Amino acid sequence: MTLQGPIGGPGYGDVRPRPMFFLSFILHALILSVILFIPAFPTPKWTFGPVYSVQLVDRMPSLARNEAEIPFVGQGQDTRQSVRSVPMRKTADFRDLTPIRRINPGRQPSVEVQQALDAIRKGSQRPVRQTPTAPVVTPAGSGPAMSVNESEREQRMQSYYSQVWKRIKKKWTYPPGVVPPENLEAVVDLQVLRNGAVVNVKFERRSGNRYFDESVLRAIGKASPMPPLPDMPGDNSMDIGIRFHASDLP
Amino acid sequence: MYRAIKWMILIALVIISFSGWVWGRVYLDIDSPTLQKIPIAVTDVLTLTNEQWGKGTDTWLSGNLSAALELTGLFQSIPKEAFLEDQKPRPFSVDTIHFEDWSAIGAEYVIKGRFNVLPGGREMVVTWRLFDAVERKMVLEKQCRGRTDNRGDLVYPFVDDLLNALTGERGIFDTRVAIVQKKGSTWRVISIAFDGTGLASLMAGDALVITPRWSPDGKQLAYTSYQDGQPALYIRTINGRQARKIASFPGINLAGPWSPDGRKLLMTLSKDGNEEIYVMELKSGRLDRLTNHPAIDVSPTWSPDGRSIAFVSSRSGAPQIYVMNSDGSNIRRLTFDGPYNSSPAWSPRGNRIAYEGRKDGFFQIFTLETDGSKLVQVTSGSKNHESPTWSPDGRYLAFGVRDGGAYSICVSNSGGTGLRVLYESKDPCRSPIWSPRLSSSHILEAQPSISSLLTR
Repeated sequence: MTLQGPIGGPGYGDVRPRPMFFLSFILHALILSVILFIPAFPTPKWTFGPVYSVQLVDRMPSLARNEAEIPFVGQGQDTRQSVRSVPMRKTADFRDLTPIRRINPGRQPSVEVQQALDAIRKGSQRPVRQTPTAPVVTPAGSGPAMSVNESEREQRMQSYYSQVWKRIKKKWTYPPGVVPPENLEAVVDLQVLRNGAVVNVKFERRSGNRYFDESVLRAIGKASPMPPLPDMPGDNSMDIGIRFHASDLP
Repeated sequence: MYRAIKWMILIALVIISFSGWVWGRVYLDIDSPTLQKIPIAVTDVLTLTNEQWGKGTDTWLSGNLSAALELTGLFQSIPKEAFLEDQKPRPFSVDTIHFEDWSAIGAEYVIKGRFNVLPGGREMVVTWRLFDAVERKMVLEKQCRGRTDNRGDLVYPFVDDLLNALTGERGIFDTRVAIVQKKGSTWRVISIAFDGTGLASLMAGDALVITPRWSPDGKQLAYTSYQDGQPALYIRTINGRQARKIASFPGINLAGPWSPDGRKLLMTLSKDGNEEIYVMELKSGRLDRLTNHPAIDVSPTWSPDGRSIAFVSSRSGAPQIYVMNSDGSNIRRLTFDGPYNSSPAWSPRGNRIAYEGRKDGFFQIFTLETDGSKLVQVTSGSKNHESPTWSPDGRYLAFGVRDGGAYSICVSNSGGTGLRVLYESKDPCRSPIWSPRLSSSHILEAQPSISSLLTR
């Protein structure tokens, strides 16, 4: 096949464009995927440590009643709208961060949206209440409001991660005096199957101390099997990475 | 044209699915592990010989093993009432043990044993096995042979191997603590085993004896004695009766610790006017002076690598602890807290120094890093605690305690927990000195053992 540029223009003549076309397509695809990569680095890290809440602005109580206590404003969210039924928590609760469209209670909400809101509310009640509570960093790429199904899936995932975190943390022990009080860190990758079985436990990074690494593997062993994966389409297994860290306190 | 489009679509799919894969993994952060003793279940030992020999021995062996494990401060024995396993078959191998029964009660490790009384009835052989209930495998098997009442031969060698497999260091059941005691008019140096048993007398006499020091091979003792009328320094073999005089200069000749290679001895001499620290090369008798200061310099202790020496000096006006190089250069002050600090002891791990310091009217034991940071108070209470000495693995401290007219030698973990009395007496006893490891089995040969933790 031949293409002809405008008569007299640069493309004029019988030039075979296929290699150029190919090259241009590959370059575009590469650039596009790099743009897709950038939000994925740094990889989302979920930590369920102690939550410290700081009151930065002294707010008058009258204001709080009419405005939603949204911890921070995501892009494109309307802060003038408020939801009467969102529970007001004392500490900064980042669980409410899942960006869902908030509706004006003056308007009659449609039935489906109301049901979806109930499901999400139920989902946000389930996770751990006792300390340490979980400040969850939303994964990158969730800026614009997601559909309600995806946010419900997010809630389930968060709850599941929280359960896995709790189980392993509870079982991570070693006797005093065996591991030196230094800053040690190990990262382990594992896979959780649909029924909760833990497979493919591998070190992504070792700490350098044999007994620390042993204790980390034993913690995972003692915490296994995990609860079954939450009901989700696709996904017969879940890949989780765990970063174990001990500071240099004696 | 269509072929080109097909290829483009293929490549696009590959690239997009690739980016999806990188996106997939989520990371959880877990910090602050809980410091907790290892829960371990010790089952009664089963006899393979005539049932009548088993009576009492099964529980005697398992009881001593549990006690030894708890003595280390690293293990928590699970009470037998909690065991779920059927007593009758008593499975002994990885294939027959139901590890779920053990992890269900929280046991991380299980110990089982079989014993055989040898013909004659005086000796027996015990086969011990250590199982890991979490990883469901056998960690270690050991055969011990000895007299039927000798737990030193039947139990402790297995505990040593167990500690080596799980913590990287053997136990210290083959160590002893030497103590100076004045009973009536007799001065004795006695030694006692780590578990508080096996009291033995190393030497006794009418003359005052102070500062006994074990040689690094555990075969000799250096000490200062007034047996010839003046405080002179002697060395004798542990079992021998002969003592040879090493230093008898005018004034005081106080025995200090041996160098880690056993070739030199530190000592405090006052022959040059006031107390100073010297080092003597034992073979040649050559004496080198290390400190040179009008203040009193005493009580030296060597670092485990032999390159530094900590000592007490009153050059600041009151006794404080200083550190210098082993040739006497680069003297720097270590302790700044407290009005009176002395008796430094350098940890065999090299990183910390223990000492006695006056606080609120009583002497307490403290430890701090060799750079002076991270001060930890080990003891407390309205008693005087003195003369700290480290165990060879650096995990425990022994020290003297004086409470009015009651004297005791106590042991605790280096952080202060697990305090227990090693020896107590109405007669003054002081100056505890921990021996090195005394059994020949601590010399590790390249043995292929079933300690499979090493294969990871």
